[in-house]
Amino acid sequence: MKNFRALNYVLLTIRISMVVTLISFLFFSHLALAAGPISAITTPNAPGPDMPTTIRLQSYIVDVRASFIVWVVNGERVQEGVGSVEYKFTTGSLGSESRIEALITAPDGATSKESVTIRPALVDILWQADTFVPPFYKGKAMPTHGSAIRAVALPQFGQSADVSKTAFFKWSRDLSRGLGEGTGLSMVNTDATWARATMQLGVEVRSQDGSYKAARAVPILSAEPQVQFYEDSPVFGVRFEKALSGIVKSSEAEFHLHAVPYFFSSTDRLYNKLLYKWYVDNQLVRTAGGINDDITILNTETGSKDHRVLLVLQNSAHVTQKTGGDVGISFSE
Amino acid sequence: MEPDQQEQEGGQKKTIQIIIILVLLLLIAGGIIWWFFLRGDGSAGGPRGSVVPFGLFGGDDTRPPTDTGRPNNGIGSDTGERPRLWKISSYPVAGATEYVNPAGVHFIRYIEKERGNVYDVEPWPLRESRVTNETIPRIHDAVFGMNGSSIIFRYVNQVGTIMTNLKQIVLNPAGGDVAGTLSEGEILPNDIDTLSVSPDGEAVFFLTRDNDGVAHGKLLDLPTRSVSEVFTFPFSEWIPQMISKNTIFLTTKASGIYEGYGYKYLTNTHELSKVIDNKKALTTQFSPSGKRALYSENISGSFYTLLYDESNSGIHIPFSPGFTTMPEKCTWSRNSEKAYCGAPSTFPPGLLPDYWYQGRISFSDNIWAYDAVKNESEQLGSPQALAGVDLDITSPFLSKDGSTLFFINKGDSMLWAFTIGAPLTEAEQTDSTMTANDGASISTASTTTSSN
Repeated sequence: MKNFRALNYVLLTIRISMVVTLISFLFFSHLALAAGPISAITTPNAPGPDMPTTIRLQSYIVDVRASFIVWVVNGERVQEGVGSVEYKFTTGSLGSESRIEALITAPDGATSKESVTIRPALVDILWQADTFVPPFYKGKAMPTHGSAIRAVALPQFGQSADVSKTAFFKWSRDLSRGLGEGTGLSMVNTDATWARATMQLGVEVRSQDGSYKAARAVPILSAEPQVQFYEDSPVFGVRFEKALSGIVKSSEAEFHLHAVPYFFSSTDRLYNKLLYKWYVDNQLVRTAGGINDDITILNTETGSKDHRVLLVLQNSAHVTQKTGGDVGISFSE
Repeated sequence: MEPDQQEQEGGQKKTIQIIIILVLLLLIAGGIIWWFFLRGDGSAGGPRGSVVPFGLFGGDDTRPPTDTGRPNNGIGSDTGERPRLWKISSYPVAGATEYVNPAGVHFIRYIEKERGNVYDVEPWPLRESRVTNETIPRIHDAVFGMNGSSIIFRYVNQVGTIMTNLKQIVLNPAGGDVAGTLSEGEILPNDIDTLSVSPDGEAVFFLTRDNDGVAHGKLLDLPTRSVSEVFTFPFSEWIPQMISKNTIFLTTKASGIYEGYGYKYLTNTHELSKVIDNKKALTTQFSPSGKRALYSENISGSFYTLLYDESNSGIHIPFSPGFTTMPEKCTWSRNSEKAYCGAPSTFPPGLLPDYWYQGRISFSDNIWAYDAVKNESEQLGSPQALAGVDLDITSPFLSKDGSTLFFINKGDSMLWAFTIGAPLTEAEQTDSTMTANDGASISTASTTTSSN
């Protein structure tokens, strides 16, 4: 009985193997036919406008190195020769179209033709970090570890108007990790990597009919948060035009100091996740969550006229976001 | 009384009379000299010399020019001609423009930063009058439209929200201490991040960001006060510059370590086309035609100013303007052929433009003219050499006749004027380490920026 069962298993295994082999043969033979014996590889894969580009012929069946090859661009012969497997050129402008044909005559006299149509396309990646900068700040908000990053791909296909809704997008991070793909997926959210490390944010995009394709990757370097101090003038408001450092002299009865926690996650700041520790002359004078950007230093009648103000900041939601800074206030007698 | 005594007293009286007459004559002569030589153009009111930071009498000098027509030492003159460089506001300024009154007289209209009062100034001889006295405290910046009659004030409220208020100057027909009042005003949306006024002053483009992080660009038509949304985009870090009601240039906010882009946006077709691609530290200043722009770029750690010229080969070709600066320190002539810029001889160390925006570094600028057609530069003057002052130029604009460059000094927000066109003195020329149209000197002058 046992021997009979074992025989059945062996026969079943043989049958399955035969079916798999047959299916594999049919599939790959179909693929080979579809691909043809010679393939033309374009480098870069999705060339943009005015970009140096190479087309190279490859085959495992035809000896292309021994073949006579004629290259024709938009109907005009541009290059020919035995073993001329590579054609280098510069793509046209945005909206142009170049049809490149390779006419191959193999050593045995068999002829074949490979053709590639290049339609240069572009895609830009615009990204912004959700990190804090003061009102009216004209610079870019830098990403810091864990902060949210929003990226938007802006494709340009020839003279077409906005194609973002119909194009297919495929996003990646550091070349390997997929961030999403789909038609109309022109925007993606991710987060910033470790401080001083760089993330590669990439996108491949192609038009609905596949005639246009473009790719781009941008490096996104993560910065560290920082604190800068400014005078909060009762008359003029916060004087963002001059950051305070070293020792600041004041002849007033009090000095209003405003701290800006540059590049901490905006959302965390808004939800009171930042912990402020204010020290004056090495004494902790205030520990508080929430938004505690301001402190007033008094010019007292007695005691020292010179004060050192230190602020230590930490984001409790993203603990790697932390920084500190200090400034001296010197009151005149 | 003895006759001798009478004679003596008579002699004393005569002496006193002679002294009085001499004093009177001296006063009259002094008055004549002042009237004809020291007073400027002699018109009523006279120059408000106290704001001129240089001169014979402790800063109150309005010296006439030398016979060469060039201001003496570049800062004052000996025959009543206006100086080369002079301060024209009495108070820190939030914004300024040129205003032409109904009689055709040109003024500089500015808004005081502290109280939001509006002032008109005749640049030379300096004469200043307050136009409004309503108090709007702690103005951050203000822009004008409609020939200076519409004002958009911007300030931060106590919880850190950017407030934007549109007001109209209503002139008081009865006259009085002040020429007019401010209308009740219209509150524009909170947290308008950036805005730009069209060159004709009739439209304002402004950007807000909604809770989903989507940017909404709106066009405010000042004559009708109507607002229409013309731009929606999921990325919001833009610096806009309006060239016309239909054309807006949008440049991504810059950092020295990240690439930026510049686009042209047509509000009627909603077409967004790229004009400047992938430049680190990219900031721009487009010409009125929109066919040229000065832009900055960080190349291998060095900061450069370059020219985008659409009309030359139809694409952007970088030219060297001969000096290095932040493009927002520049303003273009009306015909888009020349740019006038503040540019430092040397850059303090630090990542640009980030450190400058954060107030961590400041510049001591010289004033340059750049001819974009000939690709030639000329240093016009040095505030250090002219007046011994360090000026960090922001918000420059040209007078309508192109003779004067006005700008705000970033350090103290005071408004200055600089006469364009007079040749440099030797002292001014030697102050600069850069030479005009000298490609080699650019790299010498540009400072290596550091990564933060």
